[in-house]
Amino acid sequence: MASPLLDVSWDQCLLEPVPDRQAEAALRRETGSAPGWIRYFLSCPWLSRAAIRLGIDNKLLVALDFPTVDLIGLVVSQENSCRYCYAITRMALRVLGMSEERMQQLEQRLASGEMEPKVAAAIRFARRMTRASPLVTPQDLESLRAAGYSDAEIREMAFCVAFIAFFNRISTIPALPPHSWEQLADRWFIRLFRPLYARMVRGWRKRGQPASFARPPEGPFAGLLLQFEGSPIGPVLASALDDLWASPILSRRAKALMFAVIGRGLGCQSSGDEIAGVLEAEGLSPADAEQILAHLGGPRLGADETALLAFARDTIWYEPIQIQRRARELRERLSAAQFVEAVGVVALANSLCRLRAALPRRT
Amino acid sequence: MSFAYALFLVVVAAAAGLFAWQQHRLRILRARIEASTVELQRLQQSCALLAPAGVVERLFSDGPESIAEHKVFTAMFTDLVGYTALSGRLDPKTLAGVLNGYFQLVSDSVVEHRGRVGTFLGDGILIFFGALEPNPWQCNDAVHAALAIRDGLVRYNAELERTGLPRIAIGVGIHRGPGLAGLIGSRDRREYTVVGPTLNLAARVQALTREHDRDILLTESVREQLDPRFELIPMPAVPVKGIGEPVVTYTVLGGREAKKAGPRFEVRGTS
Repeated sequence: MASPLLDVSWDQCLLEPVPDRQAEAALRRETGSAPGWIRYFLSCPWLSRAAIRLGIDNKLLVALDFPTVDLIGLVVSQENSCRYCYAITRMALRVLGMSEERMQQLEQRLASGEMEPKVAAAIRFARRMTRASPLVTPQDLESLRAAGYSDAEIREMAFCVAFIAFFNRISTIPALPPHSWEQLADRWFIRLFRPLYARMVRGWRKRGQPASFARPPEGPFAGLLLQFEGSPIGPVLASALDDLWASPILSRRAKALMFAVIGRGLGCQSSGDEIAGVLEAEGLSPADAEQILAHLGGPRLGADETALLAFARDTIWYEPIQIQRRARELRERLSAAQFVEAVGVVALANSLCRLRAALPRRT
Repeated sequence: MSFAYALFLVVVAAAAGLFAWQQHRLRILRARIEASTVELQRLQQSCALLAPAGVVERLFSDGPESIAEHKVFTAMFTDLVGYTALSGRLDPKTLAGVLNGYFQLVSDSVVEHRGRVGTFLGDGILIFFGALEPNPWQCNDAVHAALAIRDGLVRYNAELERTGLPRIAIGVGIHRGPGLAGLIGSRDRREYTVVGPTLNLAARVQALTREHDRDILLTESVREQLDPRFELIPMPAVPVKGIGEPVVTYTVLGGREAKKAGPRFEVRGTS
């Protein structure tokens, strides 16, 4: 028996993996790696870099332990019905030595909530934050503290939930093919050389070292970034955001509006406030912005911008097959690079807005 | 020597027996886990037919009591016009086919515009927008869904006529307001729904579609939140049972209705 998400309907992949030796070599220099799947995203340089640097096991976590992160990965990917990410997490656990029987027992315990109280609190928090309906409240953070998690662990846990969801969206929306990952753990070569592969997987998982910002963060979500002062997460997130705003593929105005739509859809007023300054700098007065955001349209929007806003709104809560169908419609009107950037923007916006709501002040 | 050999054989046989027994137990355990996982999945799939998927997931993870919240949502009631006459003209199997086609058309239009079908009430359907997840665009969604139903009905009627069946007509009432959304019912039987005066008024507005001879009517509270690019026609205020003031409603132009309504005018900013 394989992944319980096998029944989730999944469309044909909307992207072609395009090899680009130069870009891959540059990525290796900048980030230390260029895995095969990154070829789907190479047309959007900031997303390629962010997707590698924001890898949860890539030197970002200082306080939270990896077994908890693995459970959060399973729960969040299951909540988001992401076959691709769920299959990868499941495969990693199998390679690390978890038998299929133990894997299934774990999945049953996750479904029924029969876990050790501390772990159960983390799972509940991951579910609440992912569903965001309603948004996480300070009481949810208190429950984690009461269960025995430190403030540093809570911040990292919120980051993990938000950015596993980031990977869920960049995988689900373009329907990256999950099939090979779903079968991989049972392939003969993995079974034969499992100890070797287990060493490899353990080798990929690197704990982070305390780090500080090269320069104080500015602009939208600067307050959120400052909550990660001292953690390697802060500088990586700041760099992803700077790169996103600087990218010329989609207009800065369209990207800011997509962020604002997602913040509004989630009911996160503070996320809307974060982005208001960018909209004003892009020539949209608060009244103009309100008119656009209230109805996802208006005379000041072009047809592509209107389509991008409707798409952004659809990525807040979705069924995979529905969002993949809407993504296909968007793909038909945009270039490959524009489409990839749009996927990156909605993924980052959904994650940051949820994180902003979960960490309203220094915990 | 022969004793040692015999002892060795006994130990080997015992070890082999123990191993075989453990393997047998493992197979039984594996079969049980697989059976219960399949059972759990089947149960979740069955529940998904009775309530929205998100509700089923919350029901499994957090329990039924967790699903009850006060929300501002948009309720839509649709009803078949002249169902009684239709049921007298068609045999039960044909009638069921016509009804199922209408239910499917409404359901598809609603899901396409992020609504949830709450309950089938005879030939009527209760639909809500913004009850499960926050939805600041719920009024626009509801009106888009109503227009999609209107357009879909044109195609469905053409299909019915081709097969010699009578055309059908529907009335749609839309109202926005507060209510309780959750798993409501007795200890033995509950369903995910919304309750409160918002539903009552949506149902009454749906009934007004006959009086005003319009297929879609919406209330002032919907109009206030609506994209001004929708073209609305105000209807005369009408007293409604249970409501103190006469109720002002609007019909919306679009699709077939727009063609027969003649000159259009917008009601931006008016009440």
